Amino acid sequence: MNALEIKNVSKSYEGFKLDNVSLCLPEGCILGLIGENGAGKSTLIRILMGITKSDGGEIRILGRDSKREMELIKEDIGFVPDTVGLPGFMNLRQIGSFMAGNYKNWNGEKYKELLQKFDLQGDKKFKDFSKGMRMKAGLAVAMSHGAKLLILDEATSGLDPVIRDEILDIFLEFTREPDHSVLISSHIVSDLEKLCDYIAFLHKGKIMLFEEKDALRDKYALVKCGADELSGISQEDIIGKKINPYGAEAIMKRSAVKNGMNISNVDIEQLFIFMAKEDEK
Amino acid sequence: MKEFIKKDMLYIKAYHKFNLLFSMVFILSAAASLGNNYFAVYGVVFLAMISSSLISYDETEQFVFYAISLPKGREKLVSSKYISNLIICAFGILAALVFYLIRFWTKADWEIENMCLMLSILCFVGMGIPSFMLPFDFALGVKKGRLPSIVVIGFIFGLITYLGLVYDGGGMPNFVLLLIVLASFILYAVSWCISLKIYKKKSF
Repeated sequence: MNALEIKNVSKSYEGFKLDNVSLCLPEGCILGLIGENGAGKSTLIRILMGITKSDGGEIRILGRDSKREMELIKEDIGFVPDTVGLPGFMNLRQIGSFMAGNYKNWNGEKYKELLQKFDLQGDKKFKDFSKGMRMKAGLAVAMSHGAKLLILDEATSGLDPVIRDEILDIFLEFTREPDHSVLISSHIVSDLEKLCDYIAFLHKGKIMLFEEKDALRDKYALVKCGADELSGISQEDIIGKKINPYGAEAIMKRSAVKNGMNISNVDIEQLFIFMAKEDEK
Repeated sequence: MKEFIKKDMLYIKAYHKFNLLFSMVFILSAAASLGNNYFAVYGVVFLAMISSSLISYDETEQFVFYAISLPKGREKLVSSKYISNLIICAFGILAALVFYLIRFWTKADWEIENMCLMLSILCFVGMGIPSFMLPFDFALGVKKGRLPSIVVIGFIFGLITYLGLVYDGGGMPNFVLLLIVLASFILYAVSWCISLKIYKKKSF
């Protein structure tokens, strides 16, 4: 079963359009949504959470139709927004009681355990925590009510590398359960590269690429060659290219690479940058 | 729902101690000077504004998005503000009642008519102001909803002054007082339903 199925979802604002976005996230996997600032990642996530209403399209979450069964779905989603907006004047113990009254499957013991694990003091007011600690508190809440799907919007942005690494480990641990899945958006591509099974590139409101992460490496290569060598290759096989006086660098389909070309593995960040720039040409 | 109300009460305790204090001072002043309804009305206005401030805190802290992601979060967020306001207004009206009774007891001056008039006005102001303000706040956000709210408060004060002029000297008949209280409850219920409808459909 797919944890998440998004079909042709669209949303228009003045000066921005989320354009027929389609994605799916198989159960037990982690999908990384990569995009520059303003690409539409948060809009898409807000649509998934029912915060923003889409103009069209269809969304199924954990096998349920999001338009008709959103309230049931919310019981099974752990959501961490880019700004963790828990009530600032409450301490984490009070936040625990607050959540216990809102989720049927709230697990107070699990919450306490996570607070301890994350080194969070239960009697400290939420507003007095640093950004990283707030994010951890948000995660503790998201993971304490038996959620099967975590939806995380820029959960690692603005955090120092040590905390980021800790948080990534937590996500990996979460997906050890076969029915647990994660959708995480970020513009820090290196984080997602470590973590994700699937990668989606969102650029200016459109999905440019949606692929299994390992397949990306098998499918594409970074080629360094002379500019004239590229001219003999079909434009369809070239994902993106940079030409300078010393030669050319291109990301292209491995199947189109010619003998003698200097190739290396492509990383996701390079792939995203090349694709985004090519799209702007 | 209970948890949302508890949260709002915690915020009132933390941020609105002075609102409560000032409103008590005004209500006490009204009870001490029988006939000066302005003090009591002003005191309840302080209380009636709190529910709007609570929405403002939720917006500033981005708790709104969190609340919406919770099961039945939109309904709970709206209803908690209406219930919190009822609790605060009940507190204000009860305080006024206590102050009046103390005055009557100490002065042996049982002006029940004056007290009933005052309590019905408090009821009307305490529920009337949020009845008009909250749907605007939920639809437009507190920042943009402020202007219509100010217009509405002006309208309510005008209405109270008009009623005062109409029944000047003769005292307001009991059925009018009863109608005022009844109208306040109906207005409040209608406002609650409108806010729920608006907020369920609202897209952020």
